Amino acid sequence: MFFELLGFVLLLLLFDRSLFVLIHEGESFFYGHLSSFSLSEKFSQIRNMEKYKILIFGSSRTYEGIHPKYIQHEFGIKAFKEAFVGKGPMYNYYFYQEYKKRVGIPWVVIYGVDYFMFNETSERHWMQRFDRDLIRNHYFSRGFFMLLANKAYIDIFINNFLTILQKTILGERYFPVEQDNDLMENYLGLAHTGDIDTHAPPKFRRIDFIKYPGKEGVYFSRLMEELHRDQVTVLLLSLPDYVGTYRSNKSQKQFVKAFRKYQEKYDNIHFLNYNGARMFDIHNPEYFIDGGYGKTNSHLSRSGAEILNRMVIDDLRRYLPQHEIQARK
Amino acid sequence: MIFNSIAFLEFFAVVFALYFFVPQKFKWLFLLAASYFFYGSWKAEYVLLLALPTLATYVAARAVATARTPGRKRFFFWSGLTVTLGLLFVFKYLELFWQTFLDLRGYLRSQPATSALRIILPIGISFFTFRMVSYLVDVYHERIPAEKHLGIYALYVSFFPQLLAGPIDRAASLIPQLKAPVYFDWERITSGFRLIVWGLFKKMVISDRLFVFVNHAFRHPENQGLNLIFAAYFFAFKIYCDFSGYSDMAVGISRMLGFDSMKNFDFPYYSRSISEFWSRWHISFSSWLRDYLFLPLAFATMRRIKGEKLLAVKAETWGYFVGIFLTMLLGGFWHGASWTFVIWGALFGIYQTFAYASKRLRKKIIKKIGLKRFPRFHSIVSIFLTFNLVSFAWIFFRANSFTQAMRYIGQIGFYLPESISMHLVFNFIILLFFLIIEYFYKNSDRIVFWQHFPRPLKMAAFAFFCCLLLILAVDKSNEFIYFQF
Repeated sequence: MFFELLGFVLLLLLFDRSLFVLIHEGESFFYGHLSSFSLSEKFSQIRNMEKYKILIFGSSRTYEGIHPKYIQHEFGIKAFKEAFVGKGPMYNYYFYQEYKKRVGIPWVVIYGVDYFMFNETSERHWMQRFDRDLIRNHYFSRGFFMLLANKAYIDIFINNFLTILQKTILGERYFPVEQDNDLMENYLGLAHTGDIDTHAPPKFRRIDFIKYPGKEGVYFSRLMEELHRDQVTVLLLSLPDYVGTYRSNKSQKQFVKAFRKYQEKYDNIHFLNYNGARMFDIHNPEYFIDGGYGKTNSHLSRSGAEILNRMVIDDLRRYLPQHEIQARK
Repeated sequence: MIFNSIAFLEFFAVVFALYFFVPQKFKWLFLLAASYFFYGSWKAEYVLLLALPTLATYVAARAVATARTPGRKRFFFWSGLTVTLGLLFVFKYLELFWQTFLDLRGYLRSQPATSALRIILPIGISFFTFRMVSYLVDVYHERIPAEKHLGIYALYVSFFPQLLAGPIDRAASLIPQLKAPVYFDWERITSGFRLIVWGLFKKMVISDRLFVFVNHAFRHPENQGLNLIFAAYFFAFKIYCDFSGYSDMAVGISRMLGFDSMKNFDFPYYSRSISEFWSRWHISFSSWLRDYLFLPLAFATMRRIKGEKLLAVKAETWGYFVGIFLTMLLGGFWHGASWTFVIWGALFGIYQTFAYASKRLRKKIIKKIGLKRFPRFHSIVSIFLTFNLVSFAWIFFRANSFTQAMRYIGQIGFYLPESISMHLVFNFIILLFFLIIEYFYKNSDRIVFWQHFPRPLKMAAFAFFCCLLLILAVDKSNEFIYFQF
């Protein structure tokens, strides 16, 4: 009995390690061969590099909420929008290094900060754009059973693999807007579809703010330091959430405090809070495409983004070198 | 603490490690404490809800057994039954009836219905109620003696592997086992463990993977065409793997602790008729319905018909029709306080009565088209038809409302959607893999090479299978569907 048990555990460990190595290598090979995820392809699309003076970082909330077209229309300068789902502080930190090398130092960085930001992990397929050795082991945890310790990550890989495989077979781009700079520059958001549940139940899920450093907070601080050294004006924007979502994220004060600290520490950083009923009509569901009570994330609709962009442009005017803007106009 | 959670793994590891060191005469106490702890881990108040009817049925059964007159016996029997079924009614059905009443009142007065009661359904209540009812009925009919030991009876009702979703083992089978001495048996433990792993595979790989596709199809059935048929098939497998996966784990855990539990599923989708399906699906429940509902109803109907026939139909046919239809209807209602479950049950009632009524006609047709000469082909056609009928009924079971079910059925079309999702292909591959293993499992005693396979190689194959489970399992698993019933 004892030897049988021992034999079984040893076999289990053997298969666990072997299969894990197979997945690890296969995963690296898979992402490494997705050419359209390369940064070279992304930067090769940029024409008139000297016109790009603003860089936009953030998650899907910023992707839906801040649009370069409004900025270009107002100031005649271009904004490079890198905000997209799955791009966390780590991705943004490494992306900035590349951006500096290939495009130059921007005047302003607009960074859409989120309630869930410090709990966010940059997705593997985006991180593949950088030094592979650097990230090779970043996503994997150690444990007695490697397959169990990395269960969540293996699941993400399976889903990504299937999605990307499907798009490859159909000859589609993986993320059409993200991979086409012209589309990104002309994107103005999605129309409101009426899917938001406006009913406020007596009880709903509410979550705490995950404090710094969380998963990738260290990279955020590093990026802020670097932007300070480069003398880049940084606008940390807190975008509006639908009222249900706003209430579901219960530690709003802590969230604001966390980012005000950067403003206090660095003179080039400014925190602009557009969230909450005093700043934006967060009760109007027309301005959002999702969110609600118990839902801790929401995105602006096309009409909501239009209003927000007008507000941001008013604030942005104060931080742009006016003489340069006038000269360009 | 669901079976596929780390919390349960820790709980069971502790129980299992200590269990064989506990002296025989205290083993029942240890298991009873573990079972109440397990149930209380959902909500501490639930413990009372389990203990009170347990005590009531124990007292009622003892009183039934010692009653001197038939009248007193009947009185105690109905008192015990009222307490148990009354609690089930209050917690499970009162909200639905009250809401229906308010809706009706609002409709008649042309006013919007006011908000109804909000009663939280205690997990597993239907299952332990069924155990108590069957015990009480069996004692009443003197099929078993009333249990004298309150602790053993309480353990029978609350035995943690079977507490939340069965199998609904009968007192005649489980109580003697709970009293008998239990010894450490390596073979039993390994076979129980294998069953747990197989159950986990069914739940976390098959059921949870199919969940996403099925959910999407039910939420957005527009322009999905054939996908809706695939989703209906997937749901059939999803619910099978979910529930039979749970049952396998329950049986496996019981076996590891030294108890034999009844088989709850016997490859139901290989059934050639609806009645065969019900003899292979949720066996502990369907046999419960047969013994405690169908047979009494059928006999009662037959007794009420004076003479051999009524409206030119034999009394026993009437007995079958009334018995099966009401049993299926109530069986559907048992699943949940929603009219969609009633429709689901009624559909099975219609299937079965139609099958019974058309028996001769179908035989004639089969003979005429010569299907009898190809028994294998005949079997395949029957299995396919039965599976489709069952899958159709599952649509009502899955839908949140009658409107949603009708919307879903209305959108079914025989065209492929614009793009085939790789997730759909992956689901098919996983399902095929599952069917191959299940076929292998079903016929393992006929597969000669497996019997002659060296034990270390079998062990290696099992270790590989465990790793495959870890890779393919969905990271964030869902609760078992049958917990809600």
